[in-house]
Amino acid sequence: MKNEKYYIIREIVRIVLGFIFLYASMDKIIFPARFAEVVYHYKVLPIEFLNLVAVFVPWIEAGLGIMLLLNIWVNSAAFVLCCFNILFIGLIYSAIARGLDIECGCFSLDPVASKVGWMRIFEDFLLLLSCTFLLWTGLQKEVQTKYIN
Amino acid sequence: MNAKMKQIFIRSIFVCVIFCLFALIFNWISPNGVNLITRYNEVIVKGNSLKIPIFMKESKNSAEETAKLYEEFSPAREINLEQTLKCFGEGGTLFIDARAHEEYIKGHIPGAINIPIEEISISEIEINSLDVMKKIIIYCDSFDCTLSLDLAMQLEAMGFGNVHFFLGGWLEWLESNYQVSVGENL
Repeated sequence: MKNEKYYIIREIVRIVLGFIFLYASMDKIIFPARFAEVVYHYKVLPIEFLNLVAVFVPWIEAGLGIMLLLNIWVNSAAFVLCCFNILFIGLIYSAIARGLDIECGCFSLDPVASKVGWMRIFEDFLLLLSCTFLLWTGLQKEVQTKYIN
Repeated sequence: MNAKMKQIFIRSIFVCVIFCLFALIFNWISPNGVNLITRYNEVIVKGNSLKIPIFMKESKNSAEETAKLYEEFSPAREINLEQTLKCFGEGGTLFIDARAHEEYIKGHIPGAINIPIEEISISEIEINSLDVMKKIIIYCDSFDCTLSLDLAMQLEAMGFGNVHFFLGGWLEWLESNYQVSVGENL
């Protein structure tokens, strides 16, 4: 019974997270120059590496989103997304701490929709919790043997 | 658990590498693709070297050419906050806000018109109505924004003889607690 409950919650979390990360990457994949500009405003990376980050990060996000949706190597996808979310929280916090009023670049590249702020940290924290839940349940032996393999 | 974690870690690296390869291929074929190593122009502002990144793949001028243009143009045309406030007080100066329209709506120097140089080409703007001898002061966000400089250079190339740019821009104006206007300029 306990396993079934975990299984249902895990499946919902997996699919919702998959859609969220896939959606969040779309704008950035289509307009990498725009995303590079957003990353530039955080002022944490050497200028030379801005485009590299803008090209690679959205594709990794999208790929991991697809992996979650298709239920492929979910633990690995959840692990990388946990790392990403910790990084994003750190970046947004550093922007807030430095008083930067900049575009977040979190879910879309619309400057009005997504300025950095505590709300963005809260959203990323929820995503981090969800990814951690996926990873944790994936590592539980019962779940692995009964449902994943 | 350790073996499982090791497997997760190896798979994580593997999938990241695969998606990076996809990214490289897509960036190569996409019309919106970018140079992988970001190019930049190095501009000297108030004695400090400032790197201005160029994000797009194509640029009209090479970095060296653009930097040279800035160097030749900027010292003579740059004005500071004090001079800007003086011109504003005396009147007779046309202020041009080179930032995006949505930024302009949020706040601008009173009387300034908006020419969002990143969104529209200079050739699309009705500038025949502007007096070529009138004093023009262009501004954008702040010191790390070169839109005002770009627009000033373009207007001068079109024959406007009294063009200046206020590099401190909107941020410095705002910090001076001087008058501001919000919304469209009526």
